[in-house]
Amino acid sequence: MKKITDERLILVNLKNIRIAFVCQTLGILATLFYTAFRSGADIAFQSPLFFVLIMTNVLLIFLQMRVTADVEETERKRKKVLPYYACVLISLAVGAIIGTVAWTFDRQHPLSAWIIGIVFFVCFLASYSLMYFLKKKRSEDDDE
Amino acid sequence: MMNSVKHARMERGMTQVQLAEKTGVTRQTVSLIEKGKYNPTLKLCLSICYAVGKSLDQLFWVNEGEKREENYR
Repeated sequence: MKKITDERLILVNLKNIRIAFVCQTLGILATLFYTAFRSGADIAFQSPLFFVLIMTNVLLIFLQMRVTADVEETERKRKKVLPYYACVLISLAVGAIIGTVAWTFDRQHPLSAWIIGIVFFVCFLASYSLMYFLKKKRSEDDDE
Repeated sequence: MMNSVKHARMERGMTQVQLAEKTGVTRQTVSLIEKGKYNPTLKLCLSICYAVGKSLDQLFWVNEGEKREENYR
């Protein structure tokens, strides 16, 4: 298949993909609601479709951050970019606190507490890393 | 947005297909640009300018008053 180079067709293609995405999301939602109605909410939440829906939405929100950051951020509200090690330290602190709390509530399963702490650490680090790179890119753009 | 692409292309003795081939788009896109139904990017505008040997001003400049009238239409 020949690669599309026409900018108008690329835009049309993107619009088509957007329509297909909306249809797909509505289809997934309908399936999940039907499953929840027929077999209960627990079965719907355990479905891989629910996982796909959540992952797609999280990805969409992260991608949208690049779009909305410029619209919402004003000159006065712009803060100085923290060094990356600060992001790692904050994430580590959050993971340690949550892990400790989990261990306090269930002392018989220290491995679970470790896993919960690590999951929180990874999630916070991923979010902070994205924010860090967006802010860094923004400050580099401002400097130019 | 209205432009002088059609006029410049005919002056140059080119067909829509030839202009489309030179600028790397389809004939339909050239047709829509000429009718003012599709606003090309600056990159494509420049490609069209190079192809017909005119400046951006000559092909795409619209005075503010004319633009406003067009928006109300």
